[in-house]
Amino acid sequence: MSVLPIEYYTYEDYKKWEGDWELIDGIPYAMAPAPVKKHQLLASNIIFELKKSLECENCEVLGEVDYKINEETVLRPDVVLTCDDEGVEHLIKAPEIIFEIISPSTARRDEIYKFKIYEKEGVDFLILVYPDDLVAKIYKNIDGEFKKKGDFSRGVFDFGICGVKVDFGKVFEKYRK
Amino acid sequence: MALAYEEHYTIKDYEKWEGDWELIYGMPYAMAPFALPKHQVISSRIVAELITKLKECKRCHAIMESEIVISDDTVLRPDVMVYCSKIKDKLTKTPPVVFEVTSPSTIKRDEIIKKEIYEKEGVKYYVIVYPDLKKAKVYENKEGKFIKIADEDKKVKFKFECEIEFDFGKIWI
Repeated sequence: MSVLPIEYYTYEDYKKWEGDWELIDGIPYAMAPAPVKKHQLLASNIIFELKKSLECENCEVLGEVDYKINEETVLRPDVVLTCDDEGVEHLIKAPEIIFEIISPSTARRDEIYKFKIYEKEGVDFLILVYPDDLVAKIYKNIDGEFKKKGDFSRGVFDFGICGVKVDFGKVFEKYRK
Repeated sequence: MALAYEEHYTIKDYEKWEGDWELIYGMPYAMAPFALPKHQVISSRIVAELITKLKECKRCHAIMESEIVISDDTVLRPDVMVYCSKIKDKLTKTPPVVFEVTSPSTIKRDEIIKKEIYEKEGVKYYVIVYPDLKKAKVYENKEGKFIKIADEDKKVKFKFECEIEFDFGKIWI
């Protein structure tokens, strides 16, 4: 049974909550409980790859940072590359690149709802990373629509933003037999 | 308005959440971030009055801010309840009397959604307390329907396993 909620929350409420949440259209969504080690290691590898190749000083690579889209929607992507963002507590503009590492409990949220929000907000690249299959799906925003650029298990992808490249062979290396 | 997106949580998820939440039909509801002093004083006085009146009623206890598990996807935290079954870590039996002391941010929850749940679950008396108005609405469950039996009355009789006369005159500040 499902019922429409009678309470909608805002960023002011969200800031006070303990634990890990996202807020979408005023509704709280629990982050996947305690990310598993594999998830964390993949995220670290991605951050390392991005930092290694990053050539611009006005851009930053961040893990698990809040991205405030409006008063009712705050998302927390796994990894972002953001340029010229002047937010202090959270990102205030669409990052250039977002990586989401898929957990079974939040797969639909990443693949459908956050996907649409990122697309609409003009995030340039969204990469959905599947830890079980060791594959990354790369989507590029073209005229407000995410177009698939490919499925990457190995090989280097050049994002064309400040020299940033990711070698997916290295990201998945440890887990590949 | 339809929800754009829905995730349905269960008590297993709920138990992992930090902070203070209720789980209602699978959705998280934040507890009021900090309780106002007046709210706390009134809650304590309700408990005190209940303890006094329940002295002869050995099986029943007045409990403040405990969780009551309604179903796999609904866990509520009434401000005060009378509980007449064995006290365990997880309370799962329907309390005969529930008090909710309203806060501005959660008033609709008390008046609408929790009222519906308590009614359906067979809570015998549901009291919604309005600290600023010094008003308490008392509902009695008659054949699955909450009927209002009192509004700011001084003394109200609650008949469940025991019979007590609750004096609302003692709770206001």
